[in-house]
Amino acid sequence: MKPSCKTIQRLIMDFPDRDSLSGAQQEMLDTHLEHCHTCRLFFQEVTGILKTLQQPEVPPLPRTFFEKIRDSVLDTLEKPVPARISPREWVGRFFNAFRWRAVIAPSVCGIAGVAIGFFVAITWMSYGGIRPETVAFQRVIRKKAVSLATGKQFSVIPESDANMQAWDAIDLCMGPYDILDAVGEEGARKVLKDWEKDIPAEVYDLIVS
Amino acid sequence: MSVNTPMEVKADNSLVDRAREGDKAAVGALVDQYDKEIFYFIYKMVRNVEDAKDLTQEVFIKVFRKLSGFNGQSSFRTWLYRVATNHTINFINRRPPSGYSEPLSMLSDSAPLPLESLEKKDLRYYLNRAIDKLPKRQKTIVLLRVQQMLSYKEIAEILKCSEGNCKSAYHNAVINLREMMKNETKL
Repeated sequence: MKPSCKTIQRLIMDFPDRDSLSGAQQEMLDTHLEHCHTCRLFFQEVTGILKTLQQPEVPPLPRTFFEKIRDSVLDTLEKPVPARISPREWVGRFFNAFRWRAVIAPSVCGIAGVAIGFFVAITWMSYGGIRPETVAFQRVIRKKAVSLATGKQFSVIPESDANMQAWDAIDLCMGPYDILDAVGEEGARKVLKDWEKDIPAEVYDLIVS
Repeated sequence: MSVNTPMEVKADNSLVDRAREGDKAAVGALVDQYDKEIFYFIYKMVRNVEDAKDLTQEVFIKVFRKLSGFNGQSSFRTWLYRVATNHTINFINRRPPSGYSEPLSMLSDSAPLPLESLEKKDLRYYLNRAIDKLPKRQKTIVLLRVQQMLSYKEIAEILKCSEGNCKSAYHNAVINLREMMKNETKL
């Protein structure tokens, strides 16, 4: 029975070295290759590839190279093996890590945030405090100036953040002059223009002078 | 790098027993016996000297730390190859080879190899490229079969598959290599 091309090609792949075949196999191969051009080509190409692969690709390395590997292996084996962590311990570690992240980390972030905010606020304040150009501030300071100048009751002011800050700023002021300093010349003119009817003549003169 | 004879297997088993009892000399002897072939096999898989060196060390450390798990059903050599193959494939999966490192001849203390003909060098270069393009399993089987000259039975034990499966994967790999080489040489 004639062997198929598939059988011959498998034989070639399994035994690229023809000499390692038995006598009968060699004869079968030779007979087939004599008549089959496809398998002859396959034989040439595959034996070329496999024989090239079988040849040593690299020269022998120095013994010292492998001695280093051996010494390193022996050194490592002498060291104690890191303790194996049980699943229970893993769970404990997870929850510890979880608690740490859930409580400590946000706390640290919160404290850091407050500290940074405080620092920014202080810095901002030191660069001029509440800015006179803030509309709310201007409104409040104007009212306060008039209130102080006329001795009239200061009207109720909505408790927005800006207004509260303005109140604090006003409380730091010593008197109408300080307030007028804070208002500035432009602010003073506005005060006078808006409220001149309520301002006594002597205060008006004082301000103008 | 051929199949272990029964005598060699027996000698290995004796060394393994001693190594299991903590005999450092036996451990050293086993490393000395197999370090070269394991290093070259890993080098052919990763094609980087430093990686191959580190992986070889890791493989031996792993093997000797898990020596209690070696039940003697296969030979020590087969078991060593199994650990090396799995460890190297895991490494390649984690971090694909970054490319070719310095040629090993740089590390050699022997006289330089006689100059190969350009044709042979080219053939080897294209073959290495083609092998690197093979699926990992086929690449491993080709290296184990052709370069390490292991039997199908040993390869089957290393890869935990049937001999038939190994043969078929090997044949496919060779056919793929042939096709790739044809395409390469056309370029």
